[in-house]
Amino acid sequence: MQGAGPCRQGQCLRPFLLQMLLLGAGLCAPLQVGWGAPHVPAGDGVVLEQVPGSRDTSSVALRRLNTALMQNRGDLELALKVARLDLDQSRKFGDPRYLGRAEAALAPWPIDAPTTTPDTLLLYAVMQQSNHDFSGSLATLARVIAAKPDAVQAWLVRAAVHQAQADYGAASQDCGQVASGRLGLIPDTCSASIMSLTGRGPVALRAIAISLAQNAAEAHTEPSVAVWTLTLAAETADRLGDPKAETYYRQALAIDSDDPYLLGAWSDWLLDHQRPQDVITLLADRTRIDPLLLRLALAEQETGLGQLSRHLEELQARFGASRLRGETVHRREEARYTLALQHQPMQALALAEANWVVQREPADARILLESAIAAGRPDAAAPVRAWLSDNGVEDVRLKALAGQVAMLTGGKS
Amino acid sequence: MIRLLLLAVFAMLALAPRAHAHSASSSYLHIVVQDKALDVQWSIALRDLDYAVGLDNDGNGAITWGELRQKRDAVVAYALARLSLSADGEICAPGPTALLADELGDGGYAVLRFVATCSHQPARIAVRYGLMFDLDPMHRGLLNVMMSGVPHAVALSPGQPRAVFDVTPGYGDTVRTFFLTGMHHLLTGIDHMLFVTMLLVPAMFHRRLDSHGPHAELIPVTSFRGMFVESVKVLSAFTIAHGTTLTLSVLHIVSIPERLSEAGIALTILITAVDNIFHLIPGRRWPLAFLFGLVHGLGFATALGPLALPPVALGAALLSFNLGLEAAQVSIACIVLPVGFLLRNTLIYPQRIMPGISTAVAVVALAWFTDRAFDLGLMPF
Repeated sequence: MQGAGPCRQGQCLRPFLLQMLLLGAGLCAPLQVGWGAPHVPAGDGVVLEQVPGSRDTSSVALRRLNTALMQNRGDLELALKVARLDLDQSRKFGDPRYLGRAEAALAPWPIDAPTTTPDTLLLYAVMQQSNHDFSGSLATLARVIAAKPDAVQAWLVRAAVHQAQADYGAASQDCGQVASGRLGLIPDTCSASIMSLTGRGPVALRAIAISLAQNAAEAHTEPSVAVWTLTLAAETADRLGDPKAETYYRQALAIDSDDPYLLGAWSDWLLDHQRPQDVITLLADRTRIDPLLLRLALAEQETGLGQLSRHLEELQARFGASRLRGETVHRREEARYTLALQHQPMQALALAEANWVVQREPADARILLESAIAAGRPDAAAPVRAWLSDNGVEDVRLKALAGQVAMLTGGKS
Repeated sequence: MIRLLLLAVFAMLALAPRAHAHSASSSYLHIVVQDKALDVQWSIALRDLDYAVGLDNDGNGAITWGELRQKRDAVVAYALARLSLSADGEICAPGPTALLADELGDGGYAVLRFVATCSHQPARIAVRYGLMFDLDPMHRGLLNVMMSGVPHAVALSPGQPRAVFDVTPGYGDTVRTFFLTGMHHLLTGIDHMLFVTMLLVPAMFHRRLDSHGPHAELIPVTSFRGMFVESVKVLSAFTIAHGTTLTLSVLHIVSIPERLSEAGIALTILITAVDNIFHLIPGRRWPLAFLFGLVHGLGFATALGPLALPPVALGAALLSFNLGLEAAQVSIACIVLPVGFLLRNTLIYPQRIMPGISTAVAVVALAWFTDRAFDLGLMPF
């Protein structure tokens, strides 16, 4: 019906048609986006977009390097610098455009060429990881490590991929290799991150506290590493049901209040602690980053404040565009959106199951458990229950959900 | 969490482990095929244009309409050099390009609008796309080609930069698509469904003349066929009425704000439901159905939106959309009428079920009406 639906004038037909034509594949969204309201702005002074300007020093440096690279497309050193800066910008702004630009910078040295250097391959591995091509990333990393066994970064990326795949034994070994190459916050946090998921949360928290105290100088000079460490501490504490999580989150936010991952994790904590109002304040003007828009919409649904229907329409459009692009990196978010905002547990469960095949982090476990319960399909949660018990995962919320699943299955495990 | 690990680690080395937080770079290319002309609307992210041709002249990070306008020629030249439209192998030449701006939630967009004219009416259209691919291989052109009101969507990538479409002869696709859209719209539009149900619920009774109010004398019908014919009249009156206002709206002869038509629809449900309880409106049902159908048609028009179709296709689309609505109405009738007919001689149907359902619907309709008329946004559906 059109009554309270998200259809504005002229935007409904195409979605419906496509749903018909493409079996409701949800392709309506990109079309909806495309059929916005093009107009001539009121005056020359109207600001249409914000890009990193000359105040962002790395953007200026990147522009200079890019210009130099255009003059000399065969300069590998220069291309690597550009690609690394692009990857860093991608993290900083949460904008995947920079991933594509890094790939473009490295284009003369293709990933499958045997002569491509390990340094280049490492950057490719990071891009593959970012695009959720985990097996591709591991294969590329194997080539890096074969050529340079002491490449600390390669081991670190490997640890990341193995952790995302819930292969904690391998991830733990990778962190060991990182530690044998260098000391400090990074290897400590790498190991703590594995401990936090394998039943040694309190140990992980102690290790983090010690490492932060010992490596205060590093934390100071590498704020993004410190943010990572503190976010891990917050997530670990939260899994243990320890209210100190809030303190860790606030410490991390004091260092960087714009980090997209941190903002997402902090918003989740606020939502879990019935503070949706704070989420709205925090995220009201960060709607461009998809996962943050999702959390904002969740908070708006809970409070009845804000612009829920507009944000739902927007999320629908973005997931639709992403699907038309053939991407799968948004499945976790899309499952959550489908369950909590669209109230379609069966569809959410399908997305959560497909997502669990690729990535297996606590957030992935949670959405699968929640969807399975909502859909009345406790059997679908079996892989998560196995993951919980095989690894001895300590997580108050996940355990409660798994308990609910067990009740639904009639106590059979 | 391992993501964070990567990203922080590479802070020193510059690593970006976290998956896409923003939406990735896409342009939205909409092409409407009308005889020999291709109507093109192309929305390109200003971030991408800034990277490709440089828009932020003063380097303050804010891209203004003035800055975009100054670079108009460079933008148009850059974009059009990377798009080719052809009809059966012959290039369709782009006409003058209008530059507009749009805000699509994930950022500001420049919108190029032009008409590409082909030398003949195409049997096959080819789109070749190469925007941004050299600068960002993850960029995609999200193409939507509209032919006879039917969209065809495809994502263009460095691996698949070209798409070919057969211009469908005849209106088979149009008829099928709009018929299904009509059915889908009625069956998923719970307000229309409730209205049709409210129209049909008392169909198995005649009301004794001059008998009003909650205790009006209801006489069960004797023949199913008679009841069925009467119901078909009611539904057809409804369909003819909403078909009329739908057509007038789509042709822009009538235009009513969505809020009013939506509130009006709620009101029609409310009145019909209340009448099922108190039996106040004298005479037969079909004039009522006709009157209220006029209101519902305005609502259907909102769902269809403006249709950029040549006249014959537009006629085919509207007709099939209405037939789709009618088919859905008849299927509702096929459920409501037999059940009501079987129960017509019981006391429970006229005294409990009919007023019960009608009261529930009236409550919902009242809530809808309030919600829509005052734009409260409280109702979940």
